[in-house]
Amino acid sequence: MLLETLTPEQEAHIEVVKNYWLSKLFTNGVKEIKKELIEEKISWMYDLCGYKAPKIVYSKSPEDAQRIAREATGEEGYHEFSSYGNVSDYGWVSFYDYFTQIGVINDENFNNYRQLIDCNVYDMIQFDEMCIVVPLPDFISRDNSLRLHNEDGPAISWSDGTAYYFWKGTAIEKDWIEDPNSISDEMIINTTDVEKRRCIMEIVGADRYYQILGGVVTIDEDDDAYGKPMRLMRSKKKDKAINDYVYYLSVTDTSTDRIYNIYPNIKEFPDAKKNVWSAKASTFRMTKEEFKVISES
Amino acid sequence: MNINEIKRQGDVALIKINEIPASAKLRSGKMANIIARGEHSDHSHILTADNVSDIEVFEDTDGTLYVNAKGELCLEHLMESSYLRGTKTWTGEHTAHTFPAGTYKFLPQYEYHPYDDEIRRVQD
Repeated sequence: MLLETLTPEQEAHIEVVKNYWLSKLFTNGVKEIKKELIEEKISWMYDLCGYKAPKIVYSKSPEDAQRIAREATGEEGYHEFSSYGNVSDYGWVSFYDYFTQIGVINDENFNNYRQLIDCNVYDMIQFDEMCIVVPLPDFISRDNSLRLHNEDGPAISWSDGTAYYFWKGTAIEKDWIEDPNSISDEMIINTTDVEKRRCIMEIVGADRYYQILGGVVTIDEDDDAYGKPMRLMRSKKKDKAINDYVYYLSVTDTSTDRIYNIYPNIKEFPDAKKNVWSAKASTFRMTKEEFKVISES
Repeated sequence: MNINEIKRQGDVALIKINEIPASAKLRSGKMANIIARGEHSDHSHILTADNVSDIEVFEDTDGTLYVNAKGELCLEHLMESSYLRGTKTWTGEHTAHTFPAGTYKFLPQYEYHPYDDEIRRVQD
C-alpha cells in the first residue's frame, strides 16, 4: 500500500514508535528477557538460516557471555557478538515497525524479527548449536548530546557488576572516574590515544593536567583561522628520560570546541618548537608555508 | 580549489595534487572509501559522492592513499557500521567538506612521541 501523505494521527504516531524503542534501551532498571518468546524467535531465526534450534544460554552481561562462550568452546580470547539480533537493530527495526503499525507493510519475517528484538535482548553470541543471550543493561547514563557519559560512575552497567566507563562518548579507564587522584604523569604519557588524553584533561582540568606533567611554560599562542585558541608549550624542566623539554600543542577542534593536546612533530620540523603555526603544520608533516588550509572542521 | 590547497577534517586532510603516482593501486570493496577509522569508536572519515563510481581510491606501496574524483567529492565523518549497511549517520562531530572533481592525496595527522622517539599516526 503506497501512501502519498500521512494523516495527523499517522504523523503523531512516528513519535510514539520512536519513543517506544528509545525508552526500551534508555529507561534504567532491570528489564527481564522474555524467555518464552525469545526461545521461539531464536529458533525461527536459526531455521531461517538453515540451522537447527540451538541451546539457549542466558548470561548476565556481555562479560558473562564471553565467559560462557570461552567455557563452552574451550577457546580463549574474544568471541564475536552478533551482527543481527542486538540493540544496534533498533534503528532500522523501528523504521519498519512504524510502517507496519500504520498498515503500509506486513512482512512475516520482519514481524518475527521485530518480536525477537523486542524481547529485551542486548546482544547475542551465536554458535551453530548454542546461542548466548545478553540482557539489556540496568543502567545507562548519557550527556546532553546523548553520548555515553557519567562523571561519577559507570555510563553503562549490568546486574552482575559489569560496567563500562565513558566520557562524552569515549571509552575510558574506570580509575579516571572512580579515583581521579590516581592519574599520574606516567599514565598520561602512556595514553597514546589523543581522544583519551583529551578526556583526562577534561576530567582533571587543564591546569591540573599540566601540573601532573610537571608544569608548562607557553612558548607561542595565537588564534586559528576560526578564532579558536592554539597554544604551544613546553615542560618547565627538561625531562631526564629524554634529556630535553617535552613540547605540547593545544588546539581547539573547530566543530566541537574540544581541546586536544598533541605532541608536535619537532623531530622533522625544528621550528615546531618555536612557532604555534609551525607546530600545527608539523603534525601533518609540513612546514607552515606548505600547510595551506582553506577549510577545517 | 588550487593545487596544494588543503581541507582538514579532524585528524585527516586532503590536499589537491596534480596526479596520482603510477605505483598506486586501485582499492576495491566496501571499505575502499573509508580512509580513516576510529581506534575506539565507530566513527570514520569516509569519501562519498552522489554517484559512488565517481570515486576511485588508490593505495601506494607505502600505504599513502590518493583519490581520483570524477565528480564532486565529499569527505564525511560517519558512523561506519551505518555506512556499511547502506545508510549515512553523521557522528555529530566534524562537518563535511566538498571537493571539486580532481586528484587528491590523503594526509593523516602525526605526532612525535618524545618518550618513544617515534613519529606515529594520531589515534582517536
